[in-house]
Amino acid sequence: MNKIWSVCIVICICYGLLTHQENTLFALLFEVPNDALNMALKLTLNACFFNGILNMANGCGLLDKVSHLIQPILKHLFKGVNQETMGYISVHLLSNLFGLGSVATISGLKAMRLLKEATPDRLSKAMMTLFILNTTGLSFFPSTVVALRQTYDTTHSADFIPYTIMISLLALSVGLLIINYKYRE
Amino acid sequence: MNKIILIFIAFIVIYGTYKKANCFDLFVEGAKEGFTLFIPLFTALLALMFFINMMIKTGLVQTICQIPIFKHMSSELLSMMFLRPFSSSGSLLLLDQIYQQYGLNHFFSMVATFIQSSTDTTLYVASLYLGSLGIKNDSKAVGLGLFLDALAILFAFIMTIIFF
Repeated sequence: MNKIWSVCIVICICYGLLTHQENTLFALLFEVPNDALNMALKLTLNACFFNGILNMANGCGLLDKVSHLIQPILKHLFKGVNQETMGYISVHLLSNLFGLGSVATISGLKAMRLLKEATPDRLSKAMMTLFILNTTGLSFFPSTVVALRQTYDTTHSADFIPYTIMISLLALSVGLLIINYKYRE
Repeated sequence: MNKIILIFIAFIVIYGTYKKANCFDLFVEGAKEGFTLFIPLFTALLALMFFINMMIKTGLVQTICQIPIFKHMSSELLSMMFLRPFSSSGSLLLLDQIYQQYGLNHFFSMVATFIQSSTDTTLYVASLYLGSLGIKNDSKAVGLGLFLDALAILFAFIMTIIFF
């Protein structure tokens, strides 16, 4: 992340100076913190609320029940992860699949935090797997794209979904294979 | 979706009460923990948004796409391929432009649709999950994520060629 970020920032500043966009760039320095604050605030407030809800669910054993349902599938992906973390991971995956964004983000963050506490000094296999599951974006119902297509033509707006699922699954499988190969124990 | 979340919340409170858990305390405790995310989250987002806005506002992405090799492809589609790992709303806007220009069922539109819906903004996810929790040495994760995004784009092209 560091390399990409550093290189791109320098390139963008040089490019901006060369194309005489100093004013745009300078204005950016003041707009960006404002935008970032608004976004972080929205996410944090959302996080507070849904973390509260999930903490309740965890406290009364509901998350454990949920994870029992999906355990057969997740067992192989997340070996050696303790029960509480499994609960959060299960909620995260289920809410991602069904498009419940707010719950998904929070449970994912909490799961990642717990995983980090378990292996504070390195990036464990479980963390990689969680990250990759997230970034390949598997979902049964990509609501934003469907909504956009509906503004143009209401008849075939959701037809692309089966193909999308196939592509996500393919990318996900490749990702999981690579992780399993690199982290062979 | 809204109904489901509301029912979900009510169900948790009911179940918690049934199990004699102190719902109020648990909720407040969880909310307190949620708030501790604020500083790491804000700083990670600051870095990310700085990065994204610089790329977009200087028009760097536009310029890269003018390179002659890529003449046959729609420049919006090309921009989208680069932009998708950085910004979901940015690529959604580009998708909209592609739909306006080529209609819904054109080759470019289908590829763009697949790109938008079958991948996710890798750099944003990396900042959020890894950056805000202070996880260092994440180059393997980010690298793998970007590689998978590229793979998904490739699959999108192949899929469109086969089926459309």
